Amino acid sequence: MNLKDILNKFFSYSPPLEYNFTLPDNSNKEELKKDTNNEKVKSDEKIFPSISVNKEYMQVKYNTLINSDIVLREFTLNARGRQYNAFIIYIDGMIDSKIMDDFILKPLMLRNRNNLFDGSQNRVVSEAITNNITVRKVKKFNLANYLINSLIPQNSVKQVNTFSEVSAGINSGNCALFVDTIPIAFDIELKGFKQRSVDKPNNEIIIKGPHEAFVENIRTNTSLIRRIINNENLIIENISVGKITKTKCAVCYMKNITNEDLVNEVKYRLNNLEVDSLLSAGELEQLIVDSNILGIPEVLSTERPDKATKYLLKGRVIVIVNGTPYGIIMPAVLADFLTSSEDSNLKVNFGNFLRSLRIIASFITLLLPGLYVAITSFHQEILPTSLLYSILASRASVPFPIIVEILIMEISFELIREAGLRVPSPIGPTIGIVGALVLGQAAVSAGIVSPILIIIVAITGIASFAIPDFSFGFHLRYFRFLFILLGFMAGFLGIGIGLFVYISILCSLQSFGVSFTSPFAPVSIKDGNGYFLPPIWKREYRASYMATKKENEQEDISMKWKYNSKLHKK
Amino acid sequence: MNKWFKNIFIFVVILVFISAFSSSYSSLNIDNLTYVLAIGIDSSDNNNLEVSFHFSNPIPAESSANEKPNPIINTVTASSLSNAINLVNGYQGRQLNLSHCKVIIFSEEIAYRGISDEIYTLINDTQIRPSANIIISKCNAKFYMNQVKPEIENILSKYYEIFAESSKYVGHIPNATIGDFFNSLNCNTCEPYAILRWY
Amino acid sequence: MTKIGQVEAIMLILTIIVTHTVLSMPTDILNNYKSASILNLIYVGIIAIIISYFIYKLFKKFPSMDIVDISEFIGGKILKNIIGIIFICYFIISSSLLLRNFCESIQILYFPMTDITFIIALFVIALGIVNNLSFSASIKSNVIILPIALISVVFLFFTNIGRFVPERIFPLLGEGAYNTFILGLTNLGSFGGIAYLYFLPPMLKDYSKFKKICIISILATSLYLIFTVATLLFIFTFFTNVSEISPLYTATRYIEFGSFFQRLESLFLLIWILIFACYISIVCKFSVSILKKLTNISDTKPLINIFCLLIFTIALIPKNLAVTQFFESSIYKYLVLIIVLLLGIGILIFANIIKYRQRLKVNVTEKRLNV
Repeated sequence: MNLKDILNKFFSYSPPLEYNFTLPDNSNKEELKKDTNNEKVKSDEKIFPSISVNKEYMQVKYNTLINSDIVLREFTLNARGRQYNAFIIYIDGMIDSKIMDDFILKPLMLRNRNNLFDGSQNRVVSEAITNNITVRKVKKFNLANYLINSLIPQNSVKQVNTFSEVSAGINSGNCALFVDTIPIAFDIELKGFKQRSVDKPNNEIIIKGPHEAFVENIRTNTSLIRRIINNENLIIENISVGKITKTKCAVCYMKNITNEDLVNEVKYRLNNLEVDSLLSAGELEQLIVDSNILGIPEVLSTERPDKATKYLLKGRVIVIVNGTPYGIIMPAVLADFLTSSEDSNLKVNFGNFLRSLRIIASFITLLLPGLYVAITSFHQEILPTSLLYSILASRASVPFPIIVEILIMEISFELIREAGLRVPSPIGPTIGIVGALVLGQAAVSAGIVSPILIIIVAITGIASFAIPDFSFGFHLRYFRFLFILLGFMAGFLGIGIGLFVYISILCSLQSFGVSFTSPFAPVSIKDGNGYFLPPIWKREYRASYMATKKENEQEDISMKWKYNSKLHKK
Repeated sequence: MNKWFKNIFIFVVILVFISAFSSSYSSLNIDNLTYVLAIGIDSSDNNNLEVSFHFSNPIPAESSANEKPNPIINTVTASSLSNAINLVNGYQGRQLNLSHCKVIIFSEEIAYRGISDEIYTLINDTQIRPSANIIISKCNAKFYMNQVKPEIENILSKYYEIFAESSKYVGHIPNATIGDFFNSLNCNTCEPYAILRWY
Repeated sequence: MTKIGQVEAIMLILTIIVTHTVLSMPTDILNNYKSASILNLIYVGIIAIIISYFIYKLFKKFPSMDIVDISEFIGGKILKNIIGIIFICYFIISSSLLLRNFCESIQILYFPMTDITFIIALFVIALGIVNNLSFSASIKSNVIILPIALISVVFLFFTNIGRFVPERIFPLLGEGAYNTFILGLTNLGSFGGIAYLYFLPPMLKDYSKFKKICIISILATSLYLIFTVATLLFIFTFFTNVSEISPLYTATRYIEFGSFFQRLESLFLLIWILIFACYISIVCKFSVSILKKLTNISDTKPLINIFCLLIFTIALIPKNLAVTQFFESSIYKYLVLIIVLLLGIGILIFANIIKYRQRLKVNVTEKRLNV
């Protein structure tokens, strides 16, 4: 390392690395406000007799070439000595494959007594001979009836003749059997997905919602999402990341809602990762976000499928990594880190109350110790006189200055928190509570810290637990030390400068093309944007900064049972 | 290598700033200050002023509830108010801070002589509150402060704060603050007023 | 080139006036016009709105061109460079002296033993960190911080209503009609935000909103000025200079809710520090973008730090508080009048005349061809 290199490093010019991907705002597009169900209602589309046409139709409808968990199994069906082409279509992960092998494929494909029949195709019902003329009444061989009556030993089989009924069956976990030459499909009940062996969520507990959480197996996770959404426009694509481990990642999105550019960008980033192994969703999160500055998380991670589907229906993309029970939701804006899925389950007043409480909690976590240090060091006139005297009285026997005291208490609080994760479980919670209380009380009696400081540290800690997202809470906890230092150094001037730099960096972040402080910073006052929840009948539009294909979520009057009379029509 | 340089540089900058601001820190820190609750100004010989400062000892919360604070009154003789504050800073050990001073007491002789000098000194100080009350006492200011022994309140500051608030429901005591006093001094159309008390 | 929307543009222009009123601008107005200040401000405000509408009309013939482009249209590269440099100097000098003024106030109040170099250095270090971010980041943080500052001033007004003495508005015409209305035109120098209007057109997402932006921003500026001056006029008598530094700060000392919330002025100071830092970062970014236009540099990142240092050094030039006060009260107003209003509008009028003549020539040649 010689002088020339050092000088070059400091004073030479290097062009900036700029990665430009932005989603346009949907504010001016009028033609996106169509009605909620985008599909033309074709409930009468009947099944074709030709199997190749049926197969093509199902391939297009279910996007089997892209969708990784829709399986189309073709085989040759033996019935009455004749062979027909047939195929079965089902969703992997939702059916019980043993039942399908034993009770559908085996009797249809393998030779058994029912399949072989040497006689003629028609069955003689009655025969009458008059005047050397033989008149035979025959019953025409009906393949569909024969299949359903004799060949498929399954407890629930239905004949359907429209494609919409077939889709409904497949979406709910059945399989559909198509046979050549008959314009009828069979809807066979085969549900075999795992229910309730999924466990309760450990970290995101809500009171009035479902208690299922993701598990490690990717198929189970995708089936959890499929069950809630229940629509064929949900696309789940498979991408492998990692040269050695080839970890499967599932990219899920709604085809008729999500912006195409966003999906392409996510797939582009996932496909261009040159790593040996990808072992968890946390690693993936760090690999594909725009920037890791300040440790702010730019994507949400959740272990609840209902939260994931809520965001799917709002136009976001979800990536599930095999082996981790966490799904990553992208893009994410600042307001998403302070919301939980509880808010829409409760009544609007309580939901908004909780949201405002969380804003207060995030301010307290970040700023309260710093403000305490700044006020007692430089600005004591803000305090009311009696409070000031309490502080003075409690500090009478403390040997340390305030900054040392607060650093000792904050660091010991973080130590207790970290150690509490690894304490063996029978004594775990006890150590946490007792340890904190006893430690605090003993410290006060020994005269090392003042009791007011213990209260401040405790309130800060409790407020940091009130933040729903773990990574965001961690980020705030980490930065309160910076604000403590700034408050000690220059009082409110230091905290003001620190806040300004913090807000500027927050505003400069972008998460997958969406500005991180939308909808507040590039101001867009539209109906779907905003932090506080409107009443449920008013949530008609999706967020405009997502640039979704379909803006409407509800009709103008969503509660038709109430307002259906002619008086209320708009 | 570069990362090390950058980190060391940032560390040095933070140290420089901490040391630069630490002088202000030590002059304004809560551990180095003592708070005056009331100031009393009398006249003494040779046109000097006799200034008394009323402090209060903060009680730790663990001690018994019946223990009353023992107020301390320090008196110095000086030629002006700022000189008096300097003197007390000198021998007190801790620096005086006027941001919680609630009451300023003048004796009647000083009031006859005119108090606008002291009012100007006080109002130009960055620490004093514009809502502090001005009292003119018929006896000596020091004697008045010695006689203040609140029976209902534990803390002396609360007594000083509240007693002028009785102006809201009784007409005996007006709420004369130093801010209003100063404004009225300079206004053509109004007259300043203060509270008159006997011990 | 980043595009900004309507609300962001209005807030940009409002930032200028907020930072000036936190310091000594209201006192200067009060000292000059005594009790007729509000009347004068209403009068000057109406004139300013008319001027801004006039500016919009003059810009109509040149869509998406700002004043530097227009001066290139008139006089080629030489005039473009001159005008660009004049505006850069104006931005930087006024903002760094304003910064110095503010830091002096903070030093007197809270850091009496610290050298003022360190306080200015804190601001400049924050500026240096923020300069590496994009232009839109500064605009967005401005949108977040400015409403808080506006609310704080309005809050100040409403909590001090109990202390108002409405008789202070008399005598209505103050020092006389001549002083108030004719000499009062120099008060147009408070509307320094018009300088930013000249540079807005290429940055707007939607050029058709320019008219709304012009009028609403100047309207909001004058309303805000009236608010602050009214607060001071009614609380204090105007025969005294209550405090040479930051009279709004003195007004905040009077706020009290019972015996708990007293002496809240440090919180106001926190908000004002935020808006100040926002202001100098925007000034820096604007200057650099003008320089980029003048010299066609593709990447301006290394240059920004130089501007940062420039602001630091210019802020250290005055020897003491009196020099900066003199600048703020006397020189700044005339700077705004000459550079922003006279020079700017002069260039626009000149450009419009040239364009009109060009159109006449085209019409004459068309007529000749037709005949």
